[in-house]
Amino acid sequence: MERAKYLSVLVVAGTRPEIVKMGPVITELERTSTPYVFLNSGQHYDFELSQLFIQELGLPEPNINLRLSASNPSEQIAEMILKISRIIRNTRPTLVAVQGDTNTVLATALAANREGAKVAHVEAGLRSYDLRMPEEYNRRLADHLSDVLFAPTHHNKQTLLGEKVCGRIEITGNTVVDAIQQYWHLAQNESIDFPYESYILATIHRAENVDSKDVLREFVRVFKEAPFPVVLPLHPRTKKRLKQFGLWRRLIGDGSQVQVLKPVGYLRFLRLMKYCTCILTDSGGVQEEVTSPLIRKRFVLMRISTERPEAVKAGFGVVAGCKAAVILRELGRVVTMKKPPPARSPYGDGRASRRICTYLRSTL
Amino acid sequence: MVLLIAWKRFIELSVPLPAVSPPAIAVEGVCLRHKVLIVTGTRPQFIKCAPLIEEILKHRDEIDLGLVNTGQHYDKMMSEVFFEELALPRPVLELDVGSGSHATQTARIMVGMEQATMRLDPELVIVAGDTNTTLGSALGCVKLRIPVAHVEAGMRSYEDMPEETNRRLTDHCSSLLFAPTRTGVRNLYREGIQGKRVLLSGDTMLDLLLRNAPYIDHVGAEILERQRLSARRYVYATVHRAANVDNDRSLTNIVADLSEIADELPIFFAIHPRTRKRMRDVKIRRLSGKLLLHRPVSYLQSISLTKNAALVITDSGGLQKEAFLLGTPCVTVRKNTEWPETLLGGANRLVAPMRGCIRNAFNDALRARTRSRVSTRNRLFGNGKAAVRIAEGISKYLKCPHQYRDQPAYAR
Repeated sequence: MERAKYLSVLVVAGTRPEIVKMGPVITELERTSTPYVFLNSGQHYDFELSQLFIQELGLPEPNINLRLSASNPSEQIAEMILKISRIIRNTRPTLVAVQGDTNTVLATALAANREGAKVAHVEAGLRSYDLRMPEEYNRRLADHLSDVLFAPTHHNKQTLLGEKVCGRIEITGNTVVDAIQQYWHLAQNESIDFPYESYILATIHRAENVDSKDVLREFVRVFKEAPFPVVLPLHPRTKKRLKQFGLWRRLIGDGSQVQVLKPVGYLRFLRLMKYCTCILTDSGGVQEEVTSPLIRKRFVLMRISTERPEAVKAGFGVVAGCKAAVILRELGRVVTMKKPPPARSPYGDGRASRRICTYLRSTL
Repeated sequence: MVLLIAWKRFIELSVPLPAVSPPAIAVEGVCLRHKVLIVTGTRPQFIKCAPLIEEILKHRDEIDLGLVNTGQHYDKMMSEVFFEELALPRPVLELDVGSGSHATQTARIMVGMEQATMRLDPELVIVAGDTNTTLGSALGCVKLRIPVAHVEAGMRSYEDMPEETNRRLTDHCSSLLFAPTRTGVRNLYREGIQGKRVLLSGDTMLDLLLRNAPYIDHVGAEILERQRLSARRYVYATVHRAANVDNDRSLTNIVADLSEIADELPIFFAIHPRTRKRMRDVKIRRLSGKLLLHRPVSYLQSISLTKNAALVITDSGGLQKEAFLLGTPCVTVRKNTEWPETLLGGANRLVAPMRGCIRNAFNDALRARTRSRVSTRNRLFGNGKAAVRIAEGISKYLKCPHQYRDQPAYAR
């Protein structure tokens, strides 16, 4: 074990979903006392907020925090490539672990590749084949840059094999199931305070939906005509767009059944998910979170494609597109369903982080 | 019935899109044309893009072409010379990224291209080859959702080198891919890049070669006379790849072998700035007097030297191909090649950078006297009209880009 001092895993996370899903891996690395360096790339939250977020989840402090000055995507990626490649040059990690499909992932994988370090990609092999999504490029490129690919499901592995990626593929399950188990007791203290017995939880944030006036108008119609009151934690950008397109008044106007919340913390969001009737979303992560045995809810996806078809196939939800009539029809069907959603998650048994960690340790 | 349901589902899930982008219409004498940028930055890119630029400029009434030069190669002999020789238009923008590590260069090019595209607002950006310029500009553009066309797509050598990453990643983020050979199309197909957006175009380097064929003899005679070399009685060598040059032992081995060969047959060694610097660092001294070190040569000089040489020793991708097309045997100092066609019939040999290997291959190649068939006839690299096809492909794409989209999973 003497050698292990100099050999370590560089774990990189920058955005909230990355921190959430990398959390169990970090906890596991800590538990097995594997040497690692935790790097916070600081992609889209200001320093204090992301610190608070990490503390809230009970994760260890990042060893290195980056502060980015750029704000538009390319400059941000470029800045991250430069800074992270310098860190890799100095720390010489055996393996660089990244998670998901954000710009941080692409930048880190590129930097590691240029510096000759090995890359491990957690949550590899997801594809929506929708090239309007910037994440689709990040996913694809990161997978082709990786030396080890941790695919959550068999389906993902098949996708990767079909694309002939260079790295080695391991099926592990998705760490989000582990994450919810790990944070569940922390979430119990969160209170949710509004007078509804049953409500529909809605989230929208995706650029290709929010930036289009037509799509947003359809969504507002869905929220107003939904069979139950809608609770809508709102991303600041979505709010800005709603106001810009003149839909804000219509959304919260008189007698509206829409309850708009400020952006909520992750733990509170878990609570909101636990007690809702069903979920209307365009997010990627939510599709996985609902399948956790601790939550077990159905969702209606307001997008034309999904990179996570396993949840749909298992019967947790439907892909409804962006047209109000279709979404409302599917929503009506989902709400009246008597049968509870499946008890098992298609994303694994909650031991994904352990598998990943075992593999990471074997490379040291 | 099943089809009908699937079709209904597809319609429900589709986003309203205009079927055809606004056509190029002349309004009161002002022509609305599709704005397209083409990015160059390194020596091979100037060569690959030259015939293409000429061809796209013929579509002047519908395409408004601008050249962006990233300045990845900043040496005069590696860049400026080509603007004059290949009659490239003046760039609308110079990014001047200069030297630096791979990471730095890629990052700088990304930022530069992002700013360029934000300012110039093109509908399509054309990139070529496999350099940091290619990847950096492709990334910078797709992040702004500007479609990218990749010329010379689908080439794979399956080696662990930065160029391989550049190729792979650029292919995976391009909306339009022009493969020079059938192997290229097959490689793309294997990686799941298929359908309308992949086009077999042929190689633009062959276009340029054919166009310049009449001048080869004249330029060749001149440079041979200056160097006191006689046709078919010398070897033309270039070495620049990181795997060979940045490794002390490989570099020493290669130079020692070349030096030995030079005692038998004089070598014209066109030396890349990086190789020169590295040779100085490693302190390689004992060189044969017949090993003629020369600064990088221009395109015409290079093809003339290739045509007249008895043998070419190189690690460059382009030169392998030019040697093959001009019928000169070639020894390639690499483990693998992205141009497997050149290996046909032993016209090109792959060797490792180990002591004696290059020498042995040299002996074998000279003894075998294998000359490749001139491939305008067998069309391994197209028929010399690749640029025409690419230009047509691009103008077709610009008329209705939506038809080229990768289909969502549910529509497949």
